[in-house]
Order: sequence, then structure tokens, then C-alpha cells
Amino acid sequence: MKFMIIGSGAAGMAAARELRRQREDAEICVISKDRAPYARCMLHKYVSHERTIKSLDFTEKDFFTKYRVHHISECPVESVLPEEKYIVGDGKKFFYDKLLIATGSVYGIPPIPNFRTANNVFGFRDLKDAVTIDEHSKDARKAFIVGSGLVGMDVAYALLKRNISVTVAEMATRIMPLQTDEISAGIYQKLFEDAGVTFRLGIGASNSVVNEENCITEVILSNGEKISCDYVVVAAGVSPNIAFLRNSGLTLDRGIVVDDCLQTSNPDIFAAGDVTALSGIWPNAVMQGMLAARNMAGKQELYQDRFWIKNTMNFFGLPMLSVGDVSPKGDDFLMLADAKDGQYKKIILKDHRITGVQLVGDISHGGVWQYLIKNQISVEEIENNIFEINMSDFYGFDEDGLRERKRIVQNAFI
Amino acid sequence: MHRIMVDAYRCDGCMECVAACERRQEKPAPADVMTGETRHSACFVRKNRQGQFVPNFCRQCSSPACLVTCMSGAIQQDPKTSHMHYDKERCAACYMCVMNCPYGMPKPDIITNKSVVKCNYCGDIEEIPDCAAACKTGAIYIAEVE
Repeated sequence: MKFMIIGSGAAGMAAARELRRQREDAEICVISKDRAPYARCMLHKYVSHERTIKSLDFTEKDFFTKYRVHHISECPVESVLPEEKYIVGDGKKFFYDKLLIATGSVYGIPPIPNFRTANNVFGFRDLKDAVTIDEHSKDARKAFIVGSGLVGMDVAYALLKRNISVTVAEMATRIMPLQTDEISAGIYQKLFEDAGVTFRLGIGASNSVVNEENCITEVILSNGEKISCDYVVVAAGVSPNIAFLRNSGLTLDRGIVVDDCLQTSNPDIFAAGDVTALSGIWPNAVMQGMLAARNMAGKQELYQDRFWIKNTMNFFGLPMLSVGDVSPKGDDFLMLADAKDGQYKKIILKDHRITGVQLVGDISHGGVWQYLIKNQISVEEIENNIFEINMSDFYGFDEDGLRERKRIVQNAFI
Repeated sequence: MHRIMVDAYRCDGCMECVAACERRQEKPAPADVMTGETRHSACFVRKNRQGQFVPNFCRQCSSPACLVTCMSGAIQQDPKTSHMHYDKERCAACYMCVMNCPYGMPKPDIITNKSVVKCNYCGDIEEIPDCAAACKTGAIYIAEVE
């Protein structure tokens, strides 16, 4: 049996390890455009010179030897032929029995004049993007960043460490709009501004000026303001990396369409991670990779732990945890907030169930909130002390947090 | 595998487990009985809704949420003992494990905010981890589980 995995990111590497656990004697092969695995979430630490390329690697020591996985590196896959059961990478055919597509996502460049053609507009997704930005940062003084999501702010944070003055333009009226409310966004905006970042909120770039070397020297905002820069970083969202599958015959939507077993429209092909459009965060990509691997090895497991509106960040030594919708629209929510000693906590409830939690400052033991939200556990009986909720409150209770078990030892609550 | 088990009904809130965990540090922080945990303690003791002391411990789960969420490779599973080990040097302090553990066990080092505090079963060096060895009431003990 030959298992082939396209992509050496979170999903692909988790799948390779799990396949080896499932099948001691199978042939396992990872094919990827990268030279070695690395964690995208740490790429900004390469730009800030806090990490080397080697220390971006998230895998175990000697992963490929240890798990006997063949790695075909720096080989971008150009097409998949499900009928013939082979893929084409770098002009060569690679046959498989079972295939996993874990090609992640790609960034888009907005249709602002010159942005798609200029020589100094960069995305931030792959190691080569980080390397390019690092090189351009040696002599740069000013950078313009489009988008204030987590990626945009990671880049801003890294460029501050390189003493580059940064302007961030965000279409929403607050920074990191998916993870914040007005208060938490304000806290981080001030930290970034104090460190030297300039924000333009509720505003987009509408035009630009290029020099004779086809480099953008000035970005023009929709209010007419001109901001000069040495280069532009676009962090305005990603989409599943499926362009190479257009002629494969596989059913595609926004991402590769998969069923609950993560099987595509072809029974020998599975998909996991960002490319499925089911989620966009690391843990879910890993879980999908492991589950797809088990199903490729003949199991019939369903992908059930689908919740992924959750994130953490840690800028300037101030951590934040954000789970669920922390800035809901409508008035049928109960919002409880508590702010003291530089800390901020907000809990959003609907029908005695928590729908969103935001913690800024002390996020210790915050994982419990994630469990309560994800599983829609009723907190009716402990609502009075809601800010103090922790695992103790569920000791001896079943998974729903409702029925108390009789004198149970450990493993309560899951 | 060996796992730390909790029988909360035997706990009298003495905090010896928390103090024992903290003492593993080269420079231990003072134990704060009021909050039921210390800066470096990977466990904590709190009262539940009935006012009963409950020791909260890393379960060294069989499908660990901390392991799948770790994007730096700092958390790894020991192939022999199946326990999770944590390498502070590799940790990127992204705190996704803090958020993803359903029991809320990993916590940031609140002074540096450059690493997490995470149970590593005392590095699997001794048969019995220090917390269980310190428990006089039998509320924390070690059992062999699948």
C-alpha cells in the first residue's frame, strides 16, 4: 500500500505520523513545495530575528527517518489524476494507492492599482515570504501593511523589532476585528501605537504610486491621504489552495469538498487542513490530518470536533484569549464584563450557555471556557460566580456538566 | 500508562501538592494558599460549587488537546510512557495550549509571558511524581490505565 501526502504543514505531518502508527509496513510519502517542514504561525519570528529557519521546524527530531516517511521536497504538485491514480510534481509522475491533499491555503492580493504587479508587494504565508520580507527589511525604514488580522499584527510586531516604522490600514473600525471587541482592540491598539505603529482604521488603500523600478513608493488611501513606504505587506485573508485541482474532476467549492470522513468525491483521495475550508487554525488541521490518516488506513471515523472560532495572542507580554463570537450583534445576549488591574474579562451568555469569552491579561486555566462554549454546557447553577468558573466546578459531573456522578474519581467532565 | 488520579473527597485543601510542584523549580516562588496555586505549579486546588476542595491536575490524556495544538513542537509525547513533555526552549508562547485544554491546565508563566507552565509528569524521572508523593490524604495517587 502506498500512501501519498501533498503538503508538509500541520495536517500533512500529523497524517504522516498517524499513518505510520496505523500501518507498520506501508509506504508513506510526503511531497511538498517546501524544503523542510516549518510552522507558519512562527514565520514572523524569523522576520524579527528571534528564530532561525531551523527553529521554525515543529516536528520531532529526525521525523522522516524515525517514522520511515519518504520526503520529496521542493516539488510543487501541478496536477492530480484520480482515474490514473497519480499526481504530477515538477513534471514527474508519482503513483499512489491512497492520497491526502493537505495543501493549505494561499493569500490573495486585493485589486488595488499596481498591487498585483509591483515588485515590492508581499504576502505572508510561506517561508519564502518571510525570507523576502527579511531581505527587504535590511535597508527599509517604512512598511505599509494591509489588514490588521493576526497575521498583519504578527508582521507589524516583527517589523517593530527591526526598527521599521509601520502603518497598518484596516477596513474594519477596530484592529483584529475577528478576535476583539472595542475595549480589547483599544488595549492592543494603544500598545502598538506606543511602540510606534500608526493605524488607519475604517479605511482602505485605493491607489498607489510606483517608481521606475516598478516598486510602490506611496500608497493612497480612500480618503486621499498618501503614505510613503519602502514595501507593502498584504495580510487581507487567505483562501484554500485548490487552483492545481481545477481539472482533477474532484468536487470543489470554496475548498475541496469532503464528507464527514474527510473523503473527497473520489474514494481514494482525502483532504485535511485549510484546503477543506472547514477551519483555519492549527489544532483543527492536525486533528483533521490524524483523522483522515486513520480513515485512509481503513477506519470509518467522523470529523466531529469542528469548533474553531478560537484564538490566543501574546503581544508585548499581554496575552489574550478569544473564543466564540466576542462582539455579537443583536440584544438577546447577556454580556458580563469585568476590568481591573489592567485585566479585562468579558463573558457573553445566551439561555444560560456561554457563547463567547474574552480574557485579556490573565488567561490562566482559560481552556475550560473553550470546552463550555464548544459543547454548549449550561452554567445556570454557577452563573453567580461566573468569572470564577474553573474545572473544580465540574468535578464529578458528566460531559454535559449536568448530572453528578456518584463518587467518581478523576476523568469527570470528559 | 501511569496517570495521576484524583479523589477529591479525600482532599482537605492542605496545598502540599501545589507546594511540591513549585519546589521542583530552581528558584521556587512563595506558595499562595489563598489562590490555590503558585507561579510554577502545574496543578491547582480550588473549591467547587459545593464548597469542596478539588485538586486539578493534568490528566495526561490519551488524545491530548495540548499536543495537537502545539505549533512549535515544544509539547511532545514520550513514546515509552505516553506522557506529554514540554520543552521551554522550543515554546513560542502562543498560548494555544492554554486555550485548547478542556480542563484548562496549562497556564502562562505570568511573570515572563514567554512560556507555559505544563505538567510533564516530573520528567518521568521518578516512579511517583512529587505531587502524589506529597499527598497525605490519598486524594492524589497514581494508577495504571490503558
